[in-house]
Amino acid sequence: MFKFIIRRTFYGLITLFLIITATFFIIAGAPGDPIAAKVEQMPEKAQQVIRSKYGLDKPVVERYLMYMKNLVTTGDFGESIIYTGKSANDVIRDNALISAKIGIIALSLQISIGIGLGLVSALNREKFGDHIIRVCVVLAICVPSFVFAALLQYFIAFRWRLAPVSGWGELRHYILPVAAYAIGGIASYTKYMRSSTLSVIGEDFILTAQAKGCKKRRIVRKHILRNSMIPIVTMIGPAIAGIFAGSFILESMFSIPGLGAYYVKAVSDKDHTMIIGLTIFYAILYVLSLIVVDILYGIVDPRIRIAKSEQ
Amino acid sequence: MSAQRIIDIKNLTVSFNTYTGTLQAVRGIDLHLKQGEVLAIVGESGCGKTVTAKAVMRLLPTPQAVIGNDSEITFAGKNLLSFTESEMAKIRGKEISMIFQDPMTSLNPTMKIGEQIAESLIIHQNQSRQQANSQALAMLELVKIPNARRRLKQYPFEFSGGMRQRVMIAIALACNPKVLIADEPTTALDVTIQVQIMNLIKDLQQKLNQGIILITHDLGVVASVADRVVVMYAGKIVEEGTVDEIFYQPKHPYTFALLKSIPKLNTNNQEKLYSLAGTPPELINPPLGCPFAARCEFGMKVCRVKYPVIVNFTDSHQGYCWLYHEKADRTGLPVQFLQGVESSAQ
Repeated sequence: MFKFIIRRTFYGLITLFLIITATFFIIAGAPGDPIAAKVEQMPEKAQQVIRSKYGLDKPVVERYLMYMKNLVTTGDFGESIIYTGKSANDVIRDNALISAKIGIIALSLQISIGIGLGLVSALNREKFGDHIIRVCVVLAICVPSFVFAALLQYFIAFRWRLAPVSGWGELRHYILPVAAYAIGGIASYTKYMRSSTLSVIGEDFILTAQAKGCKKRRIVRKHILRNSMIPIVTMIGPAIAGIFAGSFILESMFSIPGLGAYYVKAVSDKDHTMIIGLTIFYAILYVLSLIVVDILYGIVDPRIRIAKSEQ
Repeated sequence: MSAQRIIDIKNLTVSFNTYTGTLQAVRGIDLHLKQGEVLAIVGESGCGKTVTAKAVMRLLPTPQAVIGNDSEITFAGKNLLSFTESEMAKIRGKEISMIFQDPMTSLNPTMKIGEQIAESLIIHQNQSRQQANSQALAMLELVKIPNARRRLKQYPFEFSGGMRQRVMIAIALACNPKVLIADEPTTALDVTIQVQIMNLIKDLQQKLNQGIILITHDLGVVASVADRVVVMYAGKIVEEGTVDEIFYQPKHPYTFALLKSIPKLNTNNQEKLYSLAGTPPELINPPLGCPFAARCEFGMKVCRVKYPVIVNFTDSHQGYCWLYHEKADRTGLPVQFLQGVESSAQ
């Protein structure tokens, strides 16, 4: 297992290197100039100074080597072109945590409620409860999260005064954004859990368990649950990366100072250092979450655990 | 004096509601199993063998499969069909166990072998985990799995097909049930492994004195382990008798055809192997008369319109065939059909 993690980390580093390189050259090759708008009014000389400060007067390959050297030795993503004096690291440190707080709560709700509802739905297949759950799932998947957000704000916050419409800082500010985040995810986990549970119920070993004299509760607990969670584990990886990313739309609707808004703005501002910095941040999270998923897989499914330890 | 009937099935009918209509999978069969006896049920795919077995275990899918109202499955004097689900759970694995056709999919892939064997001991005998584990070890040794102590902690994917079927047998026999139902236990295995598994089942049966219902379409297996044989066709029993009676004096043309289709050692390579032409009737609208009539080389007019009455050839040997009616024309029938018939069927 230890060897496996080392190996996966090594592959992860290679993946990161490729992502950083590709992002750097794509951004460098993109049309438009990040500081053109900022320096338009300045005299020629001043423009030169600012360009050389960001290294924009040097050839691309030299800039790339400098960036990589800086990144590897100090872990610095570089100073933002738009927010003078603020590095991409500062932005991530200050804002990612806010997105993550909401994201982690929402994700835990999604997984636990989703697995529960999916299981209930599958065990009552084609009965009343199953039909209700399935209709709700389809609705929740089809309707975009910002529509839910608006509905929640109108009814829960404005009409019933149960929670603040927006804002940040207190515990009650979590209620609406977490709910808006969670709904779609709950629906998709429910959907996946339902279909994976149904396929496990159809397996021969469930018949063996029945033939052994297991009662329904025991069959669900001992034979169905673990096997039907295997496909769910795959979905959790990308979701973990997603919780730090936040959502541009929801964060702006609820005025949450999260990371989502920065990413979108960085792209429209052509803020090179921010784009690359945030991309690297997401890439690291993604690679890490995939390793976490592989470890989780091993915990849930002994076939994978033992195959890994034998390698 | 014959041993006590441990399972007695009377007029069992099972039908399935499908989109195209009601499929009558088992159409009124009577059969019984005596204590310590191996009863083989043979017949081709779809004749109702497995459905009969699952009906005994009450493991048929509930809304789709319907068991007839006047059907009766008596186990040790009690009608299993009147049991509630939780009463039935106390019978399964404790009094009647079942092993299935495909050992590759019949074990839980995420549960240790030892736990899977111990489970029924924990459920039925209220054993502690430790007691159950040590008995699971004993069971693994009983089914002749080497390195049993280490194997106990392994998962099914670390076992071969034959080894998994041994584990299935260990699970089934853990609580020392009175009846074991083996549903084609060797069909999914290699020929050499088949022999080992059948020998194991036979050995354990003699050691533990269980009654076994063996479902198979392998007549070689039947000849080597069974005491009595029931031949099923299209949801009906067509012939029933001791192994010797069925193999040496088959009376029903279907049994005769089944036996004829076994290749013999002295068959030369120029000869074509015998195969029975046609397919069984579909069971949504089963034929009025004998279901085998359309494929029967000795078929008569009456066979197609009226279901044959039971013919008792000996105390243990019965069949359903019009050929043994006093008015039937018996010229040209195989010699086995006629042996002993004149004296017994009058």
